[in-house]
Amino acid sequence: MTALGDVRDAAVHGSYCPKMCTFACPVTAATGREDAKPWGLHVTVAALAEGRRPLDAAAYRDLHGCTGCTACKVPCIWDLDVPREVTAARSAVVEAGGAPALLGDVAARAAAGGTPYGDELPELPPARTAPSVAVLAGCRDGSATLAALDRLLERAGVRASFHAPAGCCGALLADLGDLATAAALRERLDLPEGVPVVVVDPHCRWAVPDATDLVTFLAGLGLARVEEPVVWHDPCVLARGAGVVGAARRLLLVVEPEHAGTRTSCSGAGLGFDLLAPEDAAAVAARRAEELAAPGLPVVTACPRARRLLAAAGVDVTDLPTWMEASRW
Amino acid sequence: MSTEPAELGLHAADLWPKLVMARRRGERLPEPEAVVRPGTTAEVAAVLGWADGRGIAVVPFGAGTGVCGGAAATAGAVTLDVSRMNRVLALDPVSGTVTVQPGIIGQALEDHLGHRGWTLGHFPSSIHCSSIGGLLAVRSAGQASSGYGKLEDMVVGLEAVLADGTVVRAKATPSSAAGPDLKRLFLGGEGTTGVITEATLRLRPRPEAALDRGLVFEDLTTGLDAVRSVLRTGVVPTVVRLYDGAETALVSGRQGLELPSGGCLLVVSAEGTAEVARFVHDVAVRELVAAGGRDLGPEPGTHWRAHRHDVSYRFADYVKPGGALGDAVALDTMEVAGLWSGLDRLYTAVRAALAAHSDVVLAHVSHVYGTGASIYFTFGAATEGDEALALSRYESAWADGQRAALDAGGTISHHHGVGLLRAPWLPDELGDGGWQLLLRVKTALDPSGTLNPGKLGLRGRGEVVA
Repeated sequence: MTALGDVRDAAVHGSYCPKMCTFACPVTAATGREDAKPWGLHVTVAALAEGRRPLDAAAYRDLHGCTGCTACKVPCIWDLDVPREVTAARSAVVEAGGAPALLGDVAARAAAGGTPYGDELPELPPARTAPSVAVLAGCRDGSATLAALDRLLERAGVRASFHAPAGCCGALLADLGDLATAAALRERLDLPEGVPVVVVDPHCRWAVPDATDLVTFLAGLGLARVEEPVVWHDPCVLARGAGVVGAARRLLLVVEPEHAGTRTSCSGAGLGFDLLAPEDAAAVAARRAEELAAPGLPVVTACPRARRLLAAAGVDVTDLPTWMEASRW
Repeated sequence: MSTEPAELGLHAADLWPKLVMARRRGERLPEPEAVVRPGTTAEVAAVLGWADGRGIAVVPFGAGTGVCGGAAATAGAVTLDVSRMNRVLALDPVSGTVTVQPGIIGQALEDHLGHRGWTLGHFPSSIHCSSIGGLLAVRSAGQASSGYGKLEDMVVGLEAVLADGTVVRAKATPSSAAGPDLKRLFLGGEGTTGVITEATLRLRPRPEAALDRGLVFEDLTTGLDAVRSVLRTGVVPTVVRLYDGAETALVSGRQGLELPSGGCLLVVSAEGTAEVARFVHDVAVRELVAAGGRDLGPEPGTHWRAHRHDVSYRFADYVKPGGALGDAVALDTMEVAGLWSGLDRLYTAVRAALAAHSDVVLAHVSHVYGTGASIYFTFGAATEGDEALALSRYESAWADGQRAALDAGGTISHHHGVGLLRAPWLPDELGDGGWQLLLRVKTALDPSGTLNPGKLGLRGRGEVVA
């Protein structure tokens, strides 16, 4: 059975649901779009899976409205996985030749060794021999973040080697439904054997499932908590996706914003939403920015995608390594 | 504005089960010509004024979750989707009010308020999906309405736009005697008299305690008498839910409760400060036990609280093709209300009418007043895949159930509204004088008849939908 076939029953079920998880969806809240409600996405995916709609560019466009945040899964008693349905449907459209031109551009940039977004690859800290941990940088990480992390780890007694994919680890292409390119990019990853891997961007765990996310890794080092209060933006992919909630609170003195932990609200950056619908992604980020700014404290996060969107929305937001390194030393 | 086919299709219907059944049969429902999504009151006014001048019908659309067809599209019309207007505009902690736009989803508002120490106290089972504007338009009631009141009772200020684009504001006041309450022209109007664009609502402090209790009564009448005896003390529990024998069997089965056959489960809850909640809880339980209730402890109540929205999440599993009850299931709810003196008769009459066309009829009393209560029926028919039979049984159940409610002296709707579904019975509900008055109101406010034509059985110029 195809990936789209795998999600058919769930999509049909969801298309008969009385839109119950609407309140949880950040895209719906920011845009008010009916086609971006989880219900609307169920309807679209069900129609594609049952052959009632062609797998064309129009269908792909109707699959834009999801950030993959899985907030809709929290209240759902059926555990319906809308992002899974969306990516399955996107990949079916791509296979059928209905991918939008944007997707070709993204794949070409990544295949050529650039970032999918078309911007500069981050500069890696100097190489180290005999590392105890391999750090995989993501395409949205910044050079300054990686430098701060290098200093932080060095002072914590961790010997790290930094690595970056040749453009993209493949996670973003998988989100967009281009599974062939995604798999090829993942194959190009060159990580040292026998060394645990830490991913700076938690989304990169798609490419390295055994890797540890940075927050969990840092919390495991036993560092003393930074006592300067901050607002922590729980990345969806960590809090809901991996159940990583307590680790950040062991590292930082967190003042909880509206929507925190597994009820965190999305920045709009996941599932390629910021590429496919940049104006809507900015609207989602603006909503989250209001919540994060309300306590009047600096904001810290461990999601580089979120950090970029939130900063663009006017949030004083810092990545976790930079905040910890600057506060500690 | 959008004319994308997918967007039009998603705005074809609300959640009226008859339309859900039509979609299941593969029927293509009437779609709007365009969907307009204004972001401000001024934009709503501009759209309505533009449409009115051209005689183009406009269907207001909140979240599209009504269950009576109130937001169902009209062919050739423009659907006015206010979902973008979903912001909290102001919270007045001194007065205890919040001002919101109509598109905000109930649970989103409740989350916003809860983070700030407040609650609206409006908890319909659709709170996760329905918009405040839509809930106001149908005069909604929540699960805790016995304590907090219906949503319409929480409205202290309202803004609406008339068919010609005129913006009307009823300023926020705790109460007023300055002429008729104009807000009531739009509460229950379901978009036929105007489009609600802003509401100021009364709040309550978020309760610090919620004490839940379950009791069982030997029959429904004993349970109703017991509830009334509690209310006569002056104590009003926040939640009162008395299930009839059939629904008790279902609910108690899910909870693993062993109850006497035919017994009726009552869930009662008291919320507020710890002191007030304890007092209300203790008085209520004392009265209920004195009136024949067997105390089951807190568990039935806490179980209900933990699963209070599950029934709505289960809906898809019953009505989808190949669902838990088979293909072509007809399933709906009918909420009616009546005075205490006629409540037994209302229950018996409506239940019998629904049962004549259904395989299952369940009922509970869940919104109580000093003068009476609402009865919420759930009815369903399994047809082994016969969609025509499902539709026939569904329509017969509605026709006979509504007629039975009228004949028994009850009201045909307590909190779901009228829409297209109940339009045939609204003239009898209002009586000839009342119906003529409503026609005059409609004609005065929407002379061109562009606002949500057909809903409530109304067009413009005093015309009645056939």
